[in-house]
Parts: sequence; C-alpha cells; structure tokens
Amino acid sequence: MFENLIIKDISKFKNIKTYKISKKTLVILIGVIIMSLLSLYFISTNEDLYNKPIAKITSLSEEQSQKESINGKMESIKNQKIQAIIMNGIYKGKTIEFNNITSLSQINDLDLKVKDEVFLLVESDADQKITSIKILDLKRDKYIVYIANIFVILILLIGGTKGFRSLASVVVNIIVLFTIIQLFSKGFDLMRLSIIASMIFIVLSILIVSGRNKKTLSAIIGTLAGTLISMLIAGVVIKLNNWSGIHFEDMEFLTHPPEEIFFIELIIGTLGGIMDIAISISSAIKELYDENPHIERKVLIKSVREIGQDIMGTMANTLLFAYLSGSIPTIILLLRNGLPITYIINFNLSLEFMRALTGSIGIVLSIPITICISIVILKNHKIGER
Amino acid sequence: MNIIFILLIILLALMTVIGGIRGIQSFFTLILNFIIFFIMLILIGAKIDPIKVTFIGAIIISYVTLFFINGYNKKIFASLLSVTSVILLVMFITYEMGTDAKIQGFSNEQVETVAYLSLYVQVNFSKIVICQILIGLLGAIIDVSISISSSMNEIYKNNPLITQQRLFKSGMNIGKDILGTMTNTLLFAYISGFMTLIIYFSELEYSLATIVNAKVFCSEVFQVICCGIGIILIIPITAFIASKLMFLTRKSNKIGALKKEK
Repeated sequence: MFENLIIKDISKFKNIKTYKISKKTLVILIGVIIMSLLSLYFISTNEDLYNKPIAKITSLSEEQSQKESINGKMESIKNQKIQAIIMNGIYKGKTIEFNNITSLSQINDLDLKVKDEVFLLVESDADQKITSIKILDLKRDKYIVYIANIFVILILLIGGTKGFRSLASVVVNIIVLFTIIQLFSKGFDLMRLSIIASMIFIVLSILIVSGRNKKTLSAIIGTLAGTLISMLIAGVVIKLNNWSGIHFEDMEFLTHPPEEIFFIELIIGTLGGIMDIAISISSAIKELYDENPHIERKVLIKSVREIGQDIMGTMANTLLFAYLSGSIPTIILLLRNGLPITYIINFNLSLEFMRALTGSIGIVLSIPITICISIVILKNHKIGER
Repeated sequence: MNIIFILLIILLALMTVIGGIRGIQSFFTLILNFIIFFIMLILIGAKIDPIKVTFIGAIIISYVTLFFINGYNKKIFASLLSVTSVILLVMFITYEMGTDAKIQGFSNEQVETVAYLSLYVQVNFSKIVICQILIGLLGAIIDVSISISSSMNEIYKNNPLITQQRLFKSGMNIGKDILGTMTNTLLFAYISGFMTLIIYFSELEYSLATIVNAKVFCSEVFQVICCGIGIILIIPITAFIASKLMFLTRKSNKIGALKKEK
C-alpha cells in the first residue's frame, strides 16, 4: 500500500520533469552519459599508460595464523599465495606467483582479492627471467572514477541547472588550488599566493553560485570582511600565546615550517563557512526588502538576526564534524595502543579544534558584518534610483 | 595560556552576544556533540562493531542537534527520518567500494609518524573508513535537512491550501539553492586539511599516475565525494518525507475534526 503510494508519487514527479526537458538539457544529459561511459571504458583499459608493471590477480589461496603484537595481544594474520597475470610492459601476459601478508586490522597492508590489480616492483636477471617480485600498491584509479561518476550523475539529476553550477564552482576552485600549488613549487611566496587565491575563491564561487546581482556584491564584501576579521582574531591569539597548546606532530613530514602552512589552511577552511552564511544572510535581506521596500531598519535587522541564529548552530556543527572525522583513524589507533585519553585530545585533536573553532568564530562574526554591508549597499542603491 | 581555551571563550562570547539564548544553546550543543563523538570512538576502541556504533551515534547526534537547536516539533521528526535514511543510503553506496579500494588505515607516507605504535590492533580499519565518511558528512546533512524542512513548514503554515506536490517542489527548490553554498563549505573545509598533502606531493615531485593511486589521496577524494553525495541525496529525501509527514498529520487532524463534529 505504502510502496504503491511512493511509486505513484515518483511517477508523477517524473511526468512533471519530462514535460520540461528542453533541447539544452537533453544535450547536456547525453553529453554526461557519453562522458561517463568513456571514462569507465578508459579506466578499465589504461594499464598500458603506466610505466610500472601491473598484475591482475587470477587466483589465491589463504593460510590463517596468529601473531603476537607489541602490546601482547593476538592478531590474526592471513598469508596469501597469489597467482596473477601481468597486464603491461615487457612482461605482458606472463603468469607470476607471489606472497602477500595481511592482518585483520589492515592498517598498512592489503587484503587482496581475485580481480584486484596491483603495482609491482619486478627485478630480473640478464635473460629477462624474473628473480623477485614486490607489491608496491593497489591500483585505485578506477574507484575514484566510479564514485566521481555517481556524484556527477546525482548532482545533475537532482540539482538540475543549479547542480551544474555547483559542480562548475567545485571544478573551478580545484583548478585554482592546483595552479597555486604549482606556482608555490616554482618558488613563489606561499602566504601572498594564498591570500590572492582566497580572494579568487571567494569572488568566483559566489559569482557562479548566485549570479551577478546586488546580493552577490554584499555577500562577497561580507565574506572578505568576515574572513579578514576572524583571521585577525586567530592571528592575535596565536601571536600572544606563541602557539602554546598546539601540536604539529601530524604535519612533521613537511620541509616547510608547519606554522605558516597551517595558518594558510586556517584561512581557506574558514572561507567556505563564511561564504555560506554571507550568501544566506544577504539573500534573506534582499527577499525582505523586495517584499516590503519601506521596511524599518530595526524590524529588518531583527528578522535577519533570527535567521542568523537559526543557521549558526548547525553550520558550526557541520564544520566540527567535517574536521573531526579526519582524525578518527589516528585516535582509534592510539586508543587501541592504550594511550591515555587526555594525551590523545591534547596532541592529536589540537589542530582540528583550532580549525573548527576559527571556522565557527568566522561564521558567527560574519552574521552582523553581512547584515551591515547588505543594508548599506541596498540603501545606497535605493537612493541612487530615485 | 592555551590557545584552544581562549578561542573557545571567544566563541562563547560571540555566540552569546550575537545569538542570545539560542547562541548559548548552540555552543553547548557543539560541546555535547563532541562528547558524544568521543564516546563513540572509545566504544569503537573497545572493539564494538564500528558500523553499529557509528549508526546509533549518528542518530543520537542528529537528535541532540535538531532538538537543542530547533525544539521538539514535526520538522525535526522529518529531518531525523531523512538523515537516518541518507546515512543508510551512503553506507550502502560506499561500503562495497570503500572496502574494494582499500583506502583504510595509514599510507606509507603517514605510517612513519605512528611508527612507535603497534599496527596490529584487532580492529578492522576498512570499517573505520566508513565510519569516518559518515561522521564527516553528518553535520552537513543535518544542516541541509533542517533548512529544507523548516522552510517547507513555513510555506505550509502560510499557505495551508497548498497541494502535496507543490510543497514537495518548493522543498526541492530550497534544497537546490542550498546545494551550491554547502558544497563549497565542505570543499574548502576538506581542501584546508588536504593542502599539507598536496604540498608534500609536489615537494617529492610525485607523478600524476602515482598520486591518483596513492592511498592518502584516494581516501581524501573518496571522503569529499561521499560528502557531496550525501548532501545531494538529502534534498529530495527531506522534501519527500517532510511533504508526506505534513499531509499525514493534516489528514488525521481533519478526521479528528470530523469526529468531533459528529
């Protein structure tokens, strides 16, 4: 009964959609389908493009055993005897055999299955006879393509034109990011580069997402001001306390000073949340103004403040979980190794706390800032029109 | 003095000044959520199945967030239902692919920083990855879902004669408006954690072929994209469930009214 209802509703919804399909969307739809099919085909047959030898596993047999770890607990270990066929390079078509060891935890090993593809390090003697084989890594490119395909198709199917815009802004931002990193590796100053990049990020993303209008202008100025002020606050707090309580162990593998890079990461991480709030607030003000152009400033500020209070909590929550999730594997590993909880919170979460807190401060601050800027811009415009 | 502590106080002060009582509520919801999050990790560390802990923990976190920030009403019930179904859906989509792609644990680059620890810990890290993905998108889907359902509730209140289909469509429109800004928020949040890695890759002059197959890179990309999928899926699901729920209660109200008349 209930299922029937859902099916009916979905078919109704589909009907509404099919009536509205224009030529343009049809072209985009067909283009996307062709692109995704092409990418799937390419990714399943691209072994010849790699220099390293790739082997596809044809069969394997497993042997279970137990091993005592450092902390005295028993871990089950699997010994895999693998038969595979080499897919590219000079050994193409050759069948090979090798061993692989994997544990239950799989923290730094691979539990291989039939049909998996792995990169190998193959050594051979003068007669091209293979003497030793070592597994380097799994070939993961196809999974990235699979999940990216699901994402693109869903965002276009559900989001329509607006989905396409969001996708465009994501792609543009990633291109900007990679350009910045390229310039940085050529020797440009990272701090200056990222300040310029942040401005580009803000202007482009807001323009693409909300189009060219007054709302956009106030959102852009609001975001710039909000980011600047929250970074000033974070900077002053950091300067006064000289990074006390912040541990950079997670970033130690860099050859650059981690403090500078972390501060840049703070700026970029804060941007997104502020942008979101600034757009919401400026469009709300625009809506209220359009509905009642003679609205009193006090009333306007009061209703927009209420909207701000609505979104600020959930938004800060979003940032908190987005940042904390990255530290889950490390925390579990430390907990299982018996390290005390206070140690873990102090040493492994300080960077994530810092990011989430600066982001939340930016979110809260950008509410009054955007309100002020929007009102000034709208008022000026009204005077100019008369 | 500790920087984290000072920033916490600044945040509390700002939330109180700008958000009033609701600001204070939001602040303590954040703290409470962190405590729930950490309890979840301790449970996983005690060898309880990570997937179950994540699922139940996610429902508790959504309930706490929705309840404290919005109060108890129809809206939060619709959102709670939608968040739960999206978590299940994303779990369904990513479980197979995440385990096959073997993005769990630490890569050769990262493993040096934990070299002093035992890597045999009797917890399956391919499940931890799923847990990580779901927790990462939890906040975002709660945010999108409550925005959609409260706007739909407003529309319904202001226009009680609206049809179910129209209500669903306006829910979809509101969702599409949020989509663009929300993807950006998350994109930048993840990019900021990702920059260290990209700089590291460019320092070592890794080739593109190595990067796209590297474990760290794949797990980051996987997480961002799964987040995106979650945000997209929550839009039609919330619009659908909220429109259904509002009309269900309307029908029962009407029947109740009729019975009273008799």
